[in-house]
Amino acid sequence: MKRREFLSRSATTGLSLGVLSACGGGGSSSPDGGKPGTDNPGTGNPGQPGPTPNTPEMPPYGGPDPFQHGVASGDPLANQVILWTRLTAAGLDEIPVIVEVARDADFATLVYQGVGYARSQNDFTVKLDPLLPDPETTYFYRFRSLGFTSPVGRTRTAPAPGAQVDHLRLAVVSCSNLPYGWFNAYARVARRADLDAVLHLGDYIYEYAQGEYNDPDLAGPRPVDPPHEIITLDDYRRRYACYRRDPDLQECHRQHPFICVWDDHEIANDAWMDGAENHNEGEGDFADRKRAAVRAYYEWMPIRMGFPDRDMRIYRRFDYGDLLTLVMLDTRLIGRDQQVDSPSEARDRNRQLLGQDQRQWLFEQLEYSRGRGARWHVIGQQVMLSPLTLGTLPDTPNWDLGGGAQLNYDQWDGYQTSRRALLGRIEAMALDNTVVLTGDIHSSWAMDVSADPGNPLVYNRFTGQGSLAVEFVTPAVTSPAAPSKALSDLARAALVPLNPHLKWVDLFHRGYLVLDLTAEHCKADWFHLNTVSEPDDSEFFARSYLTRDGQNHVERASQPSAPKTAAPPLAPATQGIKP
Amino acid sequence: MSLKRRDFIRNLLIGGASVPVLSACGGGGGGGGGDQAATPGQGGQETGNTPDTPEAPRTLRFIAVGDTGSGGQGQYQVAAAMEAVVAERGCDLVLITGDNIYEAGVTAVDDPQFLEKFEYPYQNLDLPFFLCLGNHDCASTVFGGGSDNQRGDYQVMYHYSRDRYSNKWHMPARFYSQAFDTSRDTPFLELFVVDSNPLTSFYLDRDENFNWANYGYPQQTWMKRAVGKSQAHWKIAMTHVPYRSNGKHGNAGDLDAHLRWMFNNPDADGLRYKAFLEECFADRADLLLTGHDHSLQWLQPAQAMGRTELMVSGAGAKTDDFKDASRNPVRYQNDSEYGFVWVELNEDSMTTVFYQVSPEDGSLRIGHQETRAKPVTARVLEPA
Repeated sequence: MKRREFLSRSATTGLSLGVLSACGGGGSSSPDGGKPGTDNPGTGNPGQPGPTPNTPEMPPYGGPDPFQHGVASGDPLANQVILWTRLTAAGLDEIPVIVEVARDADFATLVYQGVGYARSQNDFTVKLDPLLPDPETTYFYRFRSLGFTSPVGRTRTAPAPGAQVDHLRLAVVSCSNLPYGWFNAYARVARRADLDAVLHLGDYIYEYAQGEYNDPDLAGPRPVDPPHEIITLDDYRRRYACYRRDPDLQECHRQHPFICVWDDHEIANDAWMDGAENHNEGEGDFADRKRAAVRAYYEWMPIRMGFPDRDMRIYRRFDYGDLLTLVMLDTRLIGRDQQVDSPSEARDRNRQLLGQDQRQWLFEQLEYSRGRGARWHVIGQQVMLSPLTLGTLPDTPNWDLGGGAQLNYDQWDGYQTSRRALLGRIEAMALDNTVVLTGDIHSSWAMDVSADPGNPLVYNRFTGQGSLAVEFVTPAVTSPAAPSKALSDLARAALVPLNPHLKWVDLFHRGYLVLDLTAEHCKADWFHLNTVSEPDDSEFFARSYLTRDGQNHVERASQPSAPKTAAPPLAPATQGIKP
Repeated sequence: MSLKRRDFIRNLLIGGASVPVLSACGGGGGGGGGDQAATPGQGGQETGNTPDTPEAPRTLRFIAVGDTGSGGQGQYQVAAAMEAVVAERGCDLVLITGDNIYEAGVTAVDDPQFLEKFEYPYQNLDLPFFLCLGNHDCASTVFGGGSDNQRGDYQVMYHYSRDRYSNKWHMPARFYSQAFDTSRDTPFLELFVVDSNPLTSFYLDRDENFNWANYGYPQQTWMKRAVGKSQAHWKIAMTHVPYRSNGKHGNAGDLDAHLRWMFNNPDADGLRYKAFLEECFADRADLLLTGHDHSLQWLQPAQAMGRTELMVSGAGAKTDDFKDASRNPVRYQNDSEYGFVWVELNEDSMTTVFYQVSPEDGSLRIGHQETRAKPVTARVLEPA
């Protein structure tokens, strides 16, 4: 009844709730002024003339199925979720796309119907942000246009911020380099029916030219388009289009809402605010490249633009009932100073990783999350927070000495003041249950997070006493780390003793992790793949670490968490329905 | 003029503004230090105080001086100069930016140093003094290491002591806020006083009541809330350790870069303190008054502090050479003479006079004088 009302109001009264095209300017914007993104619900296409949203006039079309890049959803809120698709229809522009959302995969109980437009200015991507009736609910959606129907997508709204939530499960992925292997990890994640969302911590695409960064041992070729390094807006768009043709990635997007942030390779390797390692003057102005990369990102990813006039601001928050506050950070573009390569520069008090605004925002989110009574404060971000050293001594900031001998100045190790500020805040707040999720480094790690892991007075490596938080690092979907398992084991044998906070590392296997959250624990289950050199259906449980409520340090668990009972069914494997 | 001032003081001391009652014991501020009681406590006889003329413009004058408590010639010379300025230009109250009692604070509520380093030097100034704690007030050695925060409690106790020599000393808590001129719906000025020593001390205090989790962050939370809900027209923050300074102590976030190797407090560089000041006061307080470096500085606003004006007034008894006079851009600075700042707040502007006092003969001169528009726009209350 209520649902009916909701539907009829949104579909017929001209409110066009959430009916948006991917064009930020709405229906009336000038063709060149639009930025990718979405409007807020209720502001899209008011009073669209002509046919009702149910039956927009379709241009004549005699080509093949225009839904070449699948469907996707993301950034779930309690009553909203971004729905995405793209049309490929040569010669057409401003193509109407009908979206339908239902409670069932047969679309018997529609809850929403709206119209978006595929426009050339947004690379024919379509993004809608419909209002949906219920939180914590699985919905099915599909797009219709030009006489074709898209594959059926499946998505899930977040629990209401104040709701009591007993159990959440999130898959965490990163570093999916297409020429380096098959997306077997995405295929496995797609099949997990009990996930609330998939977090992608960045390096969703790679910017390199064909052959510059791929696996020579790959069983079959995985060519990328364009074949050259991507620099222009058109390049970035083509690269996303190429990746989105991958059936495993399409399937993963089709089954789950994604929550994404970029890392460096969405722009260029080791990007920072005003440059990147893999950018030179011959490639033009970095600001132009960054703008192009970010624009294509918003066009192609199922992400909500928080501030349409500030597209660089990707950091944002999600409330999952009383169980989880998820904070997604940008450690690349918004505030990162250039990387340095010496311990003294890494301690420079004027250098920042997050930038002033984001840092302050993060601190406010931590206070907000505690204030609203969330059990877990999870920070999804890119580069490793904990030190990675070849030997750790007590840290003495007053001498600018001690700590570790850093190996990687691209991670928080290269921004020690920023790390001190964050850990100092967690310590000052006496904040329990902070969990940091990390990607970027193509390997699996379980760590305690201590302000001074090398100081036995501050941190006890045997009991975890003194740890302020925990950090779980997800391996790559395909990108490589150690060339062999033997080397990985050797490195683990060396690194674990030298890094007191490090409990486990695997530098060889690709895969993903599943984060399992209950009131009692936050647990990471690593699932690894046997191969990415060929399409392969197998995976194995690698390790599991958890942190218990109030403990703030990790302990090993022998078994992965049990799946959710009564998981909603996956979307059926039907392809586009021909007219 | 003096009559008005009298009224004002009577309001303040008898009928007027109440003070947030924080517990006087160490770390007691932790947990929020009680609710801010800065709502205009209409004095009994003043309740029917109808405005004589509709919204006559308000004004308030104060002197800011710091690092005063030497009990020596410098303090007396500056006190005499203050008397002259008070007589000439008027003054409603005095703010002392910390280091009230050199070199290592007081160790009892009846410590004679209250007389020697406060009451006697200022005995000719019949004004309320509002003080904040400095590192020397919480130190156990002449070095001012700040590792004995509990000592600061005696300065709070003196505020409540029935046996004190005068009623000038105002430090109702280690950190506090105080509203002034509460005759109308909204106070004309609210003062926010920070206890910076536990946040930045050179040496660690073994008393865990003063660590960041038990004291620093609760203070920050309290202060942020107090400033946020203040409806005062002018908001002034006072703390001992500067946000920025060209003196030897330097800028918060990198304090005492050349001395730090001797310290054992990992927070001695003021990294967390800097964020404290930014989160509490940036673009919310009109003015951040500090001491610690023994000089007068009016710094250019800093980006992370928004339009908030930054001043160092720490030349109330001593002088120290600048370490790096160009570390931060300034509107005015002087490191060779004693001095203090006289400020007149009006509805829309602030007149500031930097007075310099010669260490040789105690002679008084104006170093700098400037009237500026109110830095931070007063917030208009949104209808409920």
